Amino acid sequence: MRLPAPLNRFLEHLRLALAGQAVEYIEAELRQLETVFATLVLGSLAGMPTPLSGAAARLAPYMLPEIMAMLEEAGRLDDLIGEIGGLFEPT
Amino acid sequence: MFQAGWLILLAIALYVIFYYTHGRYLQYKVVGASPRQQTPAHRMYDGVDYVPANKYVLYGHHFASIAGAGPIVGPAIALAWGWLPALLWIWFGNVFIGVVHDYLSLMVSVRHEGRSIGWVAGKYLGRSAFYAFNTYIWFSLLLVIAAFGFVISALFAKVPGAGVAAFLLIFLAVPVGLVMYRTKLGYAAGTILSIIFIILSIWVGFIIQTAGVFSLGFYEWLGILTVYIILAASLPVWVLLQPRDYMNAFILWASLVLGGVALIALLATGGGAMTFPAFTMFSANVVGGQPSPFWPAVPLIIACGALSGFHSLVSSGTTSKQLDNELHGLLIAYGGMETEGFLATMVVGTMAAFGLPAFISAVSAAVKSNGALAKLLSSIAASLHLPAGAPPSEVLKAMAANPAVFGKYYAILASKVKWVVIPGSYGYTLNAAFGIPVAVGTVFATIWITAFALTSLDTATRLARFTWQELVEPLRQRSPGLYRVVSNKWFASILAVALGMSLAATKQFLVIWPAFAGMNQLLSSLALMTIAVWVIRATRATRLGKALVVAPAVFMWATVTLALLWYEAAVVPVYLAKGGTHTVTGLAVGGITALGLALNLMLFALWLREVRVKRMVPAEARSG
Repeated sequence: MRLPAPLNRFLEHLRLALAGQAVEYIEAELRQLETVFATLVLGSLAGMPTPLSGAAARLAPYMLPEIMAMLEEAGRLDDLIGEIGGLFEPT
Repeated sequence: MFQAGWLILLAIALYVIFYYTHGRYLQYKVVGASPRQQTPAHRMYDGVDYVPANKYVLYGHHFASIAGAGPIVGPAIALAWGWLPALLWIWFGNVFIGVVHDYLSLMVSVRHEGRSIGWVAGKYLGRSAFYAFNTYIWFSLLLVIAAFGFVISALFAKVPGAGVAAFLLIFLAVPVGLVMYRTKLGYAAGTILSIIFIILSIWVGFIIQTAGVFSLGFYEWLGILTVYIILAASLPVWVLLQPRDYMNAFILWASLVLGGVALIALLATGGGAMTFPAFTMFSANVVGGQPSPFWPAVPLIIACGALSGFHSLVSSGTTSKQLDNELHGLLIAYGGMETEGFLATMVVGTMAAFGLPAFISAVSAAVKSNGALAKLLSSIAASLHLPAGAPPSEVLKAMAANPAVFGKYYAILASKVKWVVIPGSYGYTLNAAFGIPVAVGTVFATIWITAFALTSLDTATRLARFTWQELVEPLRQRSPGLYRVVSNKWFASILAVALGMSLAATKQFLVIWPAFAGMNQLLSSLALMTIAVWVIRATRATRLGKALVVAPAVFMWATVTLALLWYEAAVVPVYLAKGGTHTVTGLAVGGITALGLALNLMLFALWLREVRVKRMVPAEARSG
């Protein structure tokens, strides 16, 4: 039996909303892990004793998304409570 | 008598009309939203934080984030003034203030690269506004822990079946998380398991509740909760918080749909007549059990449902980074706030229609073993000129028919039976509409309320920890040793929980809840002031558009300021004079609200200075 198109759309949106709900906090954790990963790998370029600069430089072109996320994250470090408050709504 | 189902239909009509008139006006004539204007989700797309999302999906997400136990508990207390004033404040607050606050917080953030409202407040009102914002948050969180710690312990002590079911749900959330995030069975299997476990928990709760084989006291539940939140707030999010929040989403939508449909279905059978008085008196005994003028005291009782400051954090924290198109903001933030108002309307409807049988059941069950309750019942009977030994059902029916006595005793009596009338009335509603046993409905509603309140405790503790660590940051340079101790994550968690739970242990709910709601409203007042400055100085809003934003900001500031001044003058001294735990509670809530009030006065002075500045120069630039 085929469901009417609007109902199908509604169910699909519901599924997506619930799926998003199921990973909301994990996504936030992942974002932080991405930044930690980028810092660890590319830290040698900024003087941190992590992988050799040569290896980091070779990996850098593949890490554009992580670098972008890290820069965005760094730009928002003066607004941490706002960031976390948006995630954990207590009322 | 007026049927509660009409309230639901009226609310739907009101919200639809305002959405398409007031909402659209804000969208086009104030914000100047345009599909051509790129949102941060596109402009700053990084595949991680900034990602455009489907508008319906984001609406569901946003609403699930802002909805909690707040819009359930506040409206239930406000019935002391009568269901009509409570409802009018919910609707008025919702469509004139709450939606402006939520929608414009989102759009302000969208126009500031997804920055939070606290950050924007710092930009427009100066750095002190930013620190005030953080201070409000931390103290609000302490009071969240106190208020919800009390609500959960009280409800579990009265409905132990729900206590067992709620903790069963917590334990079962762990395997759901494991299946969903650590096995290849993934999301689908996790979803099926979630639904099975929710039904199983309700069933186990029902069995235990009806068998009467298990019960714990208020303080025992409070102790369990204290340990639970310290541990839960330190676990990785995937272990407990994430899967439990996911399970809560099912409970939220089910309870909203079931309650709304039940009240509408009862219209057909002539059921759901509202037996509680429409209006009792202007100064019913509400805040601290003292005579409380409806205005300005009402925002100290009804916060979430009409207006909540924490919503601005969600709008400007996560939602703004995922907005695909500026035109979607209306459905997501404006519509999301209206949905919360609908939830509050449903609570008023179920309580006004089925609160009486819930009261009779709760009081009859407790009166024999509770001397204070029996004494209070005798006082009510005397006020109604009934004999001292009159059965509870007779006294309560007479009380519901007498607005003056109802206004005087409702909140105090409901506190004595630990607000079990809230889930009880929902249980009676489902019973009248669908024939579901009252105990099942009551256990379900208790799980619904406490599931949110438990999440509130957990998230408030996490957030309080981060906020505390930010607040003590200046110590890092001045006193590194002290900083290391006070910024420790366990110290930060235990401090918030110890202070919050100590307040909960005093059982002075009618004075703690208004303090929490007051701090919440201060937060929203600051957000509204920030929004107003932005609208005046950085948009091309029409004169009416500016008025639609500035008027709620000024009205809310004046209301909450007067309310807290009244609270400090009329309620706190009574508690200080009582001695013992009352004095401690009075000192704590009086001190917190006095600090909030002082900051609020300072912020208003800043705000007045900023709205007079015509040029678009941020405060931080001028001061620097």
